[in-house]
Amino acid sequence: MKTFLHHPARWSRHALVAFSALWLVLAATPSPLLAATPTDEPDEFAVKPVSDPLEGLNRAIFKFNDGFYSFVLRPVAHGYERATPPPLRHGLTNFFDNLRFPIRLVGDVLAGRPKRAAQETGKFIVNTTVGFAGLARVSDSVPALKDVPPAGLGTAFAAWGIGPGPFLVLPVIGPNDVRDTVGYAGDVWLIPTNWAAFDHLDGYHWWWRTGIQTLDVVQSSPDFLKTYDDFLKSAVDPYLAVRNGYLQYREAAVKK
Amino acid sequence: MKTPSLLFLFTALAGTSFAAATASPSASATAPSPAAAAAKSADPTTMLRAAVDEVLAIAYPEKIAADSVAPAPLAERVRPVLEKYFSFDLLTRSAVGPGWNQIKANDQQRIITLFTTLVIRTYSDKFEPGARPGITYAKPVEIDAARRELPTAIAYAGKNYSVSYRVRQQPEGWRIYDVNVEGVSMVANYRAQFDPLFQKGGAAAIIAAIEKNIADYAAANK
Repeated sequence: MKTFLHHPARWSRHALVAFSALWLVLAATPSPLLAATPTDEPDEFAVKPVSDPLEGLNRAIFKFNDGFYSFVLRPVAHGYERATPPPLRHGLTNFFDNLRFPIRLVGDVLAGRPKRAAQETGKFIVNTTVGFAGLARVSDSVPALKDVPPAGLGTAFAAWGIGPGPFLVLPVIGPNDVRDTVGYAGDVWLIPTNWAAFDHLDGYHWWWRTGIQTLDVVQSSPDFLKTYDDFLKSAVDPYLAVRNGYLQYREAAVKK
Repeated sequence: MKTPSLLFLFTALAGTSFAAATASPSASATAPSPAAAAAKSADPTTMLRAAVDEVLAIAYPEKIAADSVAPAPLAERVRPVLEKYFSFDLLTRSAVGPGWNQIKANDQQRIITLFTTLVIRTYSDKFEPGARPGITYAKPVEIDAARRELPTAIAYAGKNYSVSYRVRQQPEGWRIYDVNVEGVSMVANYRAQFDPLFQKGGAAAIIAAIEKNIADYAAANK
């Protein structure tokens, strides 16, 4: 597992101070911190401090979202799943993922990762041509184009050394942090279906765009709800489970 | 488009699909000898492969006899396999954390029993009917002399997931004590939930919370 320790180049003075402080605390504490592990090795699952100054509000929005997912999104997802065969659903998921290529390209370029930017470009070209406009993810069978880490403005900000900031629960969107909220808000404008340039095409109708955006939300709803439900079913405190899950996921994603 | 579209509404969790964990390990009670040998093997990857193969054999049987009676819930069928390859004792004490040693022995046992049920149920819920997941094993990473991280990649329903297992050398062989899906450690996730419960209400609060989860699930699946 890639840990902080495996990236000596990224060690900042800040981190060194934090590490030294942790070390001092561990050395000075008569071991209850370590008592849970069989030997006196460091506690690999120690709870990290979380910045959640808006926890009260966040929990209220979390509750609202839960209702929204149950009563609005779930019927939509069920209807969509009943109306479409799995191959079509996979194809549409691939199509909309391929359409988000500009987000990944800009993220990698801004983060100063030319190799990943080239891989993303290769993926886009292969999937758009051989993969029938992105419906088939043929790039997965090309070893060099498989497993390119996720990228967007949020990961670029992280690469510049910007921390996540406080945890947020956004209405409908769900868990987030301040850095990634700003990143997503920018990412939205990088999705081609949102580009104003298309408004000037001959024969353009506003409902084309609305229709394709609606389809995107609908096609993503079953996977989203599956993730959400899995988290909730296994949780003893759903809010804390989702908060911790999101923060762990993003921390791992920006370190890739 | 004049307003930020709904398109990005679902990106927040989009990468975290836990359908991946579907492909996790388990084993079958019906394959005793090679499995037992693998369980004692000195090689952690051999143990993990045996565990995964045994679980998949139960979750995705080659063929189902036409006259077979309705099978027991998957959680019950995979339990013997998971109990063989996971150290639920270590997993539970890691999930509870530093407070573990302050908990009375009978409460510790109660928490292990309840948490084992919760983890096995969560795990077996991730298996869905359909194509069998494809799994590739990467080189183990040494954490220290007694612990390894075993990264795997799972291809399932047209998507790829990274799932890695933490294993520890126990007297009976290598045993799994954490599963990490797309960067999210299961044990760390439960620790984040159990820790505040323990601070507020001790072992009783943890026991009550897991019991509530199990009862809610049973009620929802009647």
